[in-house]
Amino acid sequence: MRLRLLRFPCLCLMLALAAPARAALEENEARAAVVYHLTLFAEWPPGSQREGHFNLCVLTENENSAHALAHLNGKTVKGARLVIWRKHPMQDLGACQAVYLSEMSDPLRDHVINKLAGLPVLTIANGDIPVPGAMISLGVAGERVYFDIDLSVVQRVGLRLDAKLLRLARSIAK
Amino acid sequence: MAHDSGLTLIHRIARMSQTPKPLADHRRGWDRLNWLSTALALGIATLLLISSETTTLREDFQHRLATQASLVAANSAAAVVFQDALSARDNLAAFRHSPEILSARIFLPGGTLFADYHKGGANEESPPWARLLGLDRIEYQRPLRLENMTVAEIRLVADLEPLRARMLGFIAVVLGAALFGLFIAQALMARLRRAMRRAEDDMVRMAHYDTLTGLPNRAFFEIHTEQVLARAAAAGQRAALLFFDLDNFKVVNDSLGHPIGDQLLKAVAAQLGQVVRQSDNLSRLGGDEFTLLIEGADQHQASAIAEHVIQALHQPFPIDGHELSIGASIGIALYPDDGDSVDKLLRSADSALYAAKAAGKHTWRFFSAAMDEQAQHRLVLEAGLHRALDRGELRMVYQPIVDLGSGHLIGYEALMRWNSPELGEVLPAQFIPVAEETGLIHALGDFALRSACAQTRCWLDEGRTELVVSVNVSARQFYGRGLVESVRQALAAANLPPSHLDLEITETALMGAEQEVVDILNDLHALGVSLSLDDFGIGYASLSQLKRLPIHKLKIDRNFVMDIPQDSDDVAITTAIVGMAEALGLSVVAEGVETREQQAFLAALGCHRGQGYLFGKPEPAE
Repeated sequence: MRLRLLRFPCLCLMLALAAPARAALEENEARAAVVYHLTLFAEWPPGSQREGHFNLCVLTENENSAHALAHLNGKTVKGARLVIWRKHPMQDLGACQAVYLSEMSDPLRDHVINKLAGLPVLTIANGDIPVPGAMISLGVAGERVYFDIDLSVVQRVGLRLDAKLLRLARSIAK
Repeated sequence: MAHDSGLTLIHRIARMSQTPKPLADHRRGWDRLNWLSTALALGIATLLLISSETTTLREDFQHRLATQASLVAANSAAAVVFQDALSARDNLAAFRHSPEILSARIFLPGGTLFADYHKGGANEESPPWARLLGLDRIEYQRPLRLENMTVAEIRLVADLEPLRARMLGFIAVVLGAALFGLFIAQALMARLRRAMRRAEDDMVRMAHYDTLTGLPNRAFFEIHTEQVLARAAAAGQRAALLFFDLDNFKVVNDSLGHPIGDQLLKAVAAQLGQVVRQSDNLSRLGGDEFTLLIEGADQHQASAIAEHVIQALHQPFPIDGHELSIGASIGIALYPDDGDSVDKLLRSADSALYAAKAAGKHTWRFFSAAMDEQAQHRLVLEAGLHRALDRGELRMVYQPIVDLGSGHLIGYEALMRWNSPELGEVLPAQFIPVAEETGLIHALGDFALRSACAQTRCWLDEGRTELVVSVNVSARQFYGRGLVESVRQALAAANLPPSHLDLEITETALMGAEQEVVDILNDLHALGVSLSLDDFGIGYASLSQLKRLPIHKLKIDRNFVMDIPQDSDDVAITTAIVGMAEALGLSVVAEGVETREQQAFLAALGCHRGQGYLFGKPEPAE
């Protein structure tokens, strides 16, 4: 009888503990989906395409985030098969068309961004405020993922973003 | 006159209401059907046009809708995948520039509404007729696809009001055109119908009217008489049918030719049109037969009208340089006494006509039951006579002609006898008129000539070389066929010299003495046969004719001989005839000599020849 009485508070506690974990999981998935969709609205300069593959490189210290992105394997981007690569910040990223900088320390992130500067690689980084040097910064407000675009960086390397995408951006830096 | 008869014809057509009623009904029905079929055809064409236009406009509309939807869809796909409902709604709001779009909604694959747009005041109801015709609103949906994946679906609802407005305009134009077309078609059809009606009227007229005289024909007569009789029966009234033919029409037709005959008929019709009342229905049944149907007439009125008609036709008709005297005989039958049907009435009138003709022509007779029997008898005669020749029922008998002075036999008159198995001995006075009317007279005449010539040849061969045989020739034999050739062949067949043949002609044959008859007489004379004028004294032969024609002998009719020498008138006439004949160089034969006293008297008078029972009855040659 006593046990039974305890059942409800226990359940509530479990739910209360589980909720943030689930929220985190959903956020990762939502970010992964946005990352994928962002690739669909970008145009690379001629010659930067890899035959039959679209390489999306993920740099993260969060396993959940990596996991959520791995689910995108096999989708297509402009007809090319999407391949998700988990990369270390120190690794060569020259073969990537897009790089997603998820959770990592600021110095590492800056290092990667600097390494990619001038290359036709779409850089997407997590950041509630625009991440300097990243082409697109993803933030979360409530349940929605929003993004800021640094158009100057995009244009500098010859990439182009669809106007429809630009319209949806929270902010655009030129 | 022609103008008058034309008018009469028109009146008659008008009076009969005149296209027969069933034909008029038929026409009305036909007109209605025509109108309906044209209206139906135009209606169907209009419907087809409207439906085709509706389909086209609808497709057009749908196409525009699809274009708009695809534009918005392309713009909205990004909003959907980045879950920017606000932006999607902004995109949908672009539809406010398309007033026909009532609502636009974007649904996510699970069916969740993602964004929507509603036109303000879009809840107006479409008119019921538009709903009925499916012209109220249209729904359209298309998927929003990104990278071959359906990320959402856009659903549009559009009001078809612009299409309805265009459709109404189109329907107004098409209906206007259809009505105009119907009007034009009606106008054209009305013209066509009028032409057809005229053609039909012509046909009716041709079917019911005689083209030569313009009078109603037999078909019309029968239909009309039936109506008149029905009316008379209903009203308990009488009606009189006058059936008449022209007395000498056949002679005119045969001797002067059909064109003259036709002209004569036209003239007669015109003359009759002037003397009869318009209500007395005059018809031409064919040939020279006419009928006059008088409604409500009694015996007295009928005979008065008959007399009137006879008087009107008694005067000569000047045709093509000829003065044609014809005259008419009329038979009258009364309804209902003499027949209660058209057929019976016409037969009775025909019998009466026959009686009128038999009574000497130029007269009229009412029908009587006895005539019916006579008519029956005549039919039997006619049927029997047709077979008589083939069955050898006809034979010739010969009555002696003697020299009154010496009493010597100088010849015979050949007379025909008909011994019918059914009718017994039939007198020539009975069957010759029938033969004349039926045309059998030519065959009978040939038979008489050939038999008489053959018999005379026998007598010549027996050494009786002085004999001359006289054969009677009917007036009808002068017309139509070759009498001269017939005589020549009979003589040749019997190898008989022409001087042994004498042809007896009645005065009737000489009536009018047309050139054709004179030519035939001259040809016969040239052939070498002699010619006698039979029954002299009772007809109209004039002295000038006698002088002009190649006649050799006169035969004094038995009526003048019978009572001499007692009857002083007959004595005077006979004396005159003999004196005249002597003066003209003609010999005379007295017929019907029965006593020695008559023989002596005639011989003393200078009449050299005679025949009669005193010298012998007509007997077979054997």
